[in-house]
Amino acid sequence: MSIPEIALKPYSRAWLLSDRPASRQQARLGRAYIIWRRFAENRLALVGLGILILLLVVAALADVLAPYDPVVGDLRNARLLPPGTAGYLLGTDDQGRDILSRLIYGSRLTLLVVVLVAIIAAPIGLIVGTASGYAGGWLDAVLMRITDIFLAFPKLVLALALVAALGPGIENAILAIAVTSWPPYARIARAETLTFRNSEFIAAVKLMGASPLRIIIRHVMPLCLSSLIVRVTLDMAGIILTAAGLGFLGLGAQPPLPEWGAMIASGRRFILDQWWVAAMPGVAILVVSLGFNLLGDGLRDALDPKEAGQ
Amino acid sequence: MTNGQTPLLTVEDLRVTFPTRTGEVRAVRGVSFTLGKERLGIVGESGSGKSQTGRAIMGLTPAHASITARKLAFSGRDLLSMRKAERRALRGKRIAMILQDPKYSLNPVMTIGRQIVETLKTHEDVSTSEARTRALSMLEAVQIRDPERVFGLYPHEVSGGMGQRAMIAMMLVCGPELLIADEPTSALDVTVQLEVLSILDKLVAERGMGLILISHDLRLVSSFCNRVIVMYAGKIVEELPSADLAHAQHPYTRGLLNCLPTIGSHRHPLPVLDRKPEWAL
Amino acid sequence: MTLTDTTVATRRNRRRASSFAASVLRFAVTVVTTIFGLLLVTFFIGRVVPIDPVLAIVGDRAPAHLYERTRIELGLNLPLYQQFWIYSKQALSGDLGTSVLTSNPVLEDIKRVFPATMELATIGTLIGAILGIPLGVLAAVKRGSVADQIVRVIGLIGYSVPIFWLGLLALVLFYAQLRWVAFPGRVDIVYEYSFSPQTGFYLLDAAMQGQWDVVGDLFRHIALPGALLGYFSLAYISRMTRSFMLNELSQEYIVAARAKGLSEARIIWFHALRNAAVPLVTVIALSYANLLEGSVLTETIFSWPGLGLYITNSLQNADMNAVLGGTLVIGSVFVGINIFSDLLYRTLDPRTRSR
Repeated sequence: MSIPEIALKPYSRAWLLSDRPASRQQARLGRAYIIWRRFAENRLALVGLGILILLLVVAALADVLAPYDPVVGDLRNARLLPPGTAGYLLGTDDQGRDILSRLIYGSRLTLLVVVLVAIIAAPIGLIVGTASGYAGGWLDAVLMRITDIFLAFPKLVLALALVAALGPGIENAILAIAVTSWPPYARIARAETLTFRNSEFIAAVKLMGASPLRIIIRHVMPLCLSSLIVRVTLDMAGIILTAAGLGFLGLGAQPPLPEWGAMIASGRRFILDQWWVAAMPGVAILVVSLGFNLLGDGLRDALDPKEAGQ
Repeated sequence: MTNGQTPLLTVEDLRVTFPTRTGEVRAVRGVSFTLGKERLGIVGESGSGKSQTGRAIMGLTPAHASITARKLAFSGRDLLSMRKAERRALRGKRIAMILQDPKYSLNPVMTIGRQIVETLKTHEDVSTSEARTRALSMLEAVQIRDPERVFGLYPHEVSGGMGQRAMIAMMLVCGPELLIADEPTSALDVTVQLEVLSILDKLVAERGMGLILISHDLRLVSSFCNRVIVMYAGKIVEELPSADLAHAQHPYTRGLLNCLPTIGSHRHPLPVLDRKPEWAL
Repeated sequence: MTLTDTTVATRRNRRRASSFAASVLRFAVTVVTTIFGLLLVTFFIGRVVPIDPVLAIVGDRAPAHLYERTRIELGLNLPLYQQFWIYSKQALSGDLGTSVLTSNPVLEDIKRVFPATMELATIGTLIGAILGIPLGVLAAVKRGSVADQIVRVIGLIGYSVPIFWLGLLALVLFYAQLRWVAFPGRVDIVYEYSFSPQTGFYLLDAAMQGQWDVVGDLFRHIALPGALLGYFSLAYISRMTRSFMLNELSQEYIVAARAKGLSEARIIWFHALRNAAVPLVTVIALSYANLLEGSVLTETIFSWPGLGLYITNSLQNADMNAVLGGTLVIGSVFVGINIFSDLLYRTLDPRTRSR
């Protein structure tokens, strides 16, 4: 005896929360909606999301938003002006460049670093982890030993040595950070894979004749994604800080690029008298990495309620 | 039963409510009973509020829950109006509790001996050597053959049955007057269950304690206790002497009794517990 | 300074280790392969350097035969695996090459500067543990309260702030404005001659020699970088302590401890914290390792003559022997700290000691 189906208005709240979804899409959207509601309950996580949306908007509209050119300054009239000087909200640096404009353009570099590292490191970790967890045996042993070796390295020092070898520059910095970032992702993906490697649904797919490659790509990887996304988001702050650190040591983005870490380095010389030159980029770094941390915390609580509070 | 004296425990209209995101969950809804130096069984399925009743008497309800009662008194002293420190002094000294699974309810990084000694030292001003002697004799009382050895073992190094005996020793070492045993044997192997129960039986009889045995197992409770309370959805649906169990009136109690298979009778289909919404009203 | 909890998680699972012999063997394999991996990685980084090591020695105007002879002397004509073999043998016997910058053997340079870094990291970890553990416990016990939120925000900022930037601002405030601390460096030039350190741990040396004026000066130098690293350590340790304590406080043995009539203070600080201490040991060790790494940036700000400053100076002068030697040493110290924390873990958790 089935309860008569009440036709629910598509995309309404009740439709989303229905425990009898009529289509795959409805089920997916319903799940997403529940996760979103859990996420949105956490006010700090929303602040984090807001910061990141702001970062995206600023980076996209840098040309419109920035009042001045980020690279060429007004050497004659505008050197080392304090914040609040007419027209220069955050002051200017030693080359007469508007700090606000440099920060706005710098957001693009920050985004570039974060996105590229994620695009390089996360898939490597995902592939190594799922292959290792699914195959088991010697492949697992070898891949995990390699992962452990990379985990044993201090990340920043390894990145430093890599950049020293490859030559300074933002591309090499990104590469170096990516090389040092993937091992934890591999660990996580492997752990997730192990939890459902022997489950019924994998056995069912196997019986239907799916190849290991198809099983890994279509069935295992999607299930690893949520914990991987949380971890990558939480790592973003660390990535930004490492990139800024490399920039500060002169190994990341090269002048005149408005990279925030490098801006702090160039402001260091005037720190005692013109503090704002070094202080402003630091605030930008702090705010953005705080945003990623808040977002990551919120995502973890929403996607994995049993880990909440950890 | 109370013989005109103050009963050991009086519970009148006890209510335990948990606030949750989706509203209040009323775990215990108006439970009343009195207890002398006797054995009372509380039976019900999981979620019936039997464990929360026991914890409310102990004062172990989580801080965010609210407890109300018209009366909750232990040998004439009101438990709810008592200061926290007074209540704490009662716990372990005059009212004790045995938990379900010794694997989780013993501190994994302390030896069994230290955990027993700790109870003693919390409530009594005893010297270390005296505490040790009493802990050892308590281990002997729970029929542990080699108390000296077990005294120095960590919880993970002993079996479940041994662990539960250690738990009983830890809780009874101060000689409490009331013992609440919350599913004391459910986590143990069937063969060990009876051993642990007989130890408990003997100690309760020798020391003249009042006992509340909380369990989902109606047969076990009725063979062990003088009286049985049957709980459903936070309420008492029936209270009767164990001897009269066969004449239970309430259909829920009858349902619980009928769940058990008996040798020699074929039953098809297997009976399913009937749960009428009006019982929960 | 990225902090991984992966090690903590793995170690927790390792509680159910099979037999002692098997775990010793697994342990040995881990150490050996990790060291091998460290050597392999540093070797390959050394090979991809665009700087030609031969030209660096003979100069660009050297005749072809001289160039060729030097190349053979350096072993660069051999196949890669032989070069790696030679490199490993040398590195394991302590020969990390010669620093171009100081023209000393790299290992000697590192021996000289490493105590300074260790001193700084020790002070930082001490601050982090002494403040971070109580804060984490407080946050867990008062979960959801204002105190919990404050500890959370302190921690999150610690995770998010660039250490070199905070260091610069702290210098402006505490040195330039308030004059509370000394000029960057490790010891005042006044004491450079009157004070002769022996172990390399200046605070210890000066205290043992009874030179209290030197101790005071050293303290004024280490206070700021030490506090800074301490803050980062605190952020990490308090966060992990909170999470471990929440886990312990939800266990049944806590209910049992309450049923025994123990005071809340004893339950929290003795029962729960004693259990949380087991994974916390790993966290503190990891935090120490992270501070060794964090010293790279901190030392450049505070002109602290340690390994971090040595590596960055060498980097700026393309002194690859020194950079790779430093990387190898920090990597080995990481491995050592891991071994140490593993041993400590075993002594703290009776479950890892089988009967």
